[in-house]
Amino acid sequence: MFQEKYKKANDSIPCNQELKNSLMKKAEAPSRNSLLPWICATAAVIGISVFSYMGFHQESNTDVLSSVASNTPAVSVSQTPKAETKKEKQKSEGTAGIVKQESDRVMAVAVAEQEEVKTETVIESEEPVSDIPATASVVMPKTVELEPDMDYSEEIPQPAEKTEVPENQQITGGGGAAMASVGGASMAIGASAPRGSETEDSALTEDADVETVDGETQGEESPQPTSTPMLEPALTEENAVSDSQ
Amino acid sequence: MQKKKSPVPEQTVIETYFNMVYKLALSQTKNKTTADDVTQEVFLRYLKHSEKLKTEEHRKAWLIRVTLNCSKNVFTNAWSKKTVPLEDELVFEEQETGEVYYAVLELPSKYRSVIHLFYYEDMSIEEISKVLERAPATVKSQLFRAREMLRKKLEGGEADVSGKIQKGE
Repeated sequence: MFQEKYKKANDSIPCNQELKNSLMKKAEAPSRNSLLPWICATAAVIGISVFSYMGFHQESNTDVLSSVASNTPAVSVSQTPKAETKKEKQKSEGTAGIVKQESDRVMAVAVAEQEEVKTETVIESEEPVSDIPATASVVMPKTVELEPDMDYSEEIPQPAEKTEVPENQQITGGGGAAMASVGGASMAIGASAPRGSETEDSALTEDADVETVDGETQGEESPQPTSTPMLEPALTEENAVSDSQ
Repeated sequence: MQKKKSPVPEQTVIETYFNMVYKLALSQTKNKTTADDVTQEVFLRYLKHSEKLKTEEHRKAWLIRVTLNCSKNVFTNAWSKKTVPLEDELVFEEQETGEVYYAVLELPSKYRSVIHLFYYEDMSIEEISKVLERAPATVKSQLFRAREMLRKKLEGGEADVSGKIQKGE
């Protein structure tokens, strides 16, 4: 009985249908959390479209200003192709110039390499000559001039006779004789002053060889057979001077 | 009790439990307008936390618990202390039903909730203990004391009340 009466009393109390309907509508409506991604997406799309429109508007304004500055009709469409063609021409010319310059550079490099090769070959060809004592290159023409006049077969033993002279007198006397007799050749010797010591050394070695061997092994052990032409003209000239005296 | 998996549409939840929440709020607040406010607050909270409620049993228990808490807060917050609720009288067609209902409203709040859940919602003592987070013995003693109070107020209704309690046990 109590339960039935209590249930009847509660069931007889009407509910607030307006409140119930409002809560039902509230449940149907999507919440803000669900709308947030859509709001963000729409805001991003609107922002991107606005920025793109602003960028396009600025570009159009710059085209109009450039056309006005060049005193040409403000037709951006007609101006831009010309500028582009000019730029393209300049670019093509620039590329052609660059190609030419590059080809010239390549040619110059090739020529320079060839010249370097030539100079190297020349230097290589000259190096053996430089190895030869400077006196030989200078004295050789004199020997050619003296060949028809003198008889070498008879005068070859003469250096062997001078081996008896002391070393100091022989070096100084020999050099002095060469300087005095040749004249022009002394200039060449003087020009090759740095190598004078070498010539003196070679002369000393030659003299030493001459002293030790006494003329017998002169031709075999002498390191530079070209020294004989240096000595020969000197001797011949001395002989010639002596003959002339 | 059947256990249904979520998600359940929120409209169906409102349709199912609106009457329960409103009647429980009315039994606690004794005022229709205040019961409306409590009911609105309960379902607004439910719309925020509906995803956390997995089973139907959990959902019902959550709604009852939130309704009782909101009903208590109505009388404890500063705004309600400075206001006077409108006087509205509940009109019942039968006088006996009215007497029973007003006899329940005169009980203390802790006994009213137990009586309302036990007699109107047909919940067992264990279910009430789980919802109210009270021990079953406490719920049983509170139910016994509430029945004794009603017995004194309602002359001649003692047998029916005791018999219902025996069924529930």
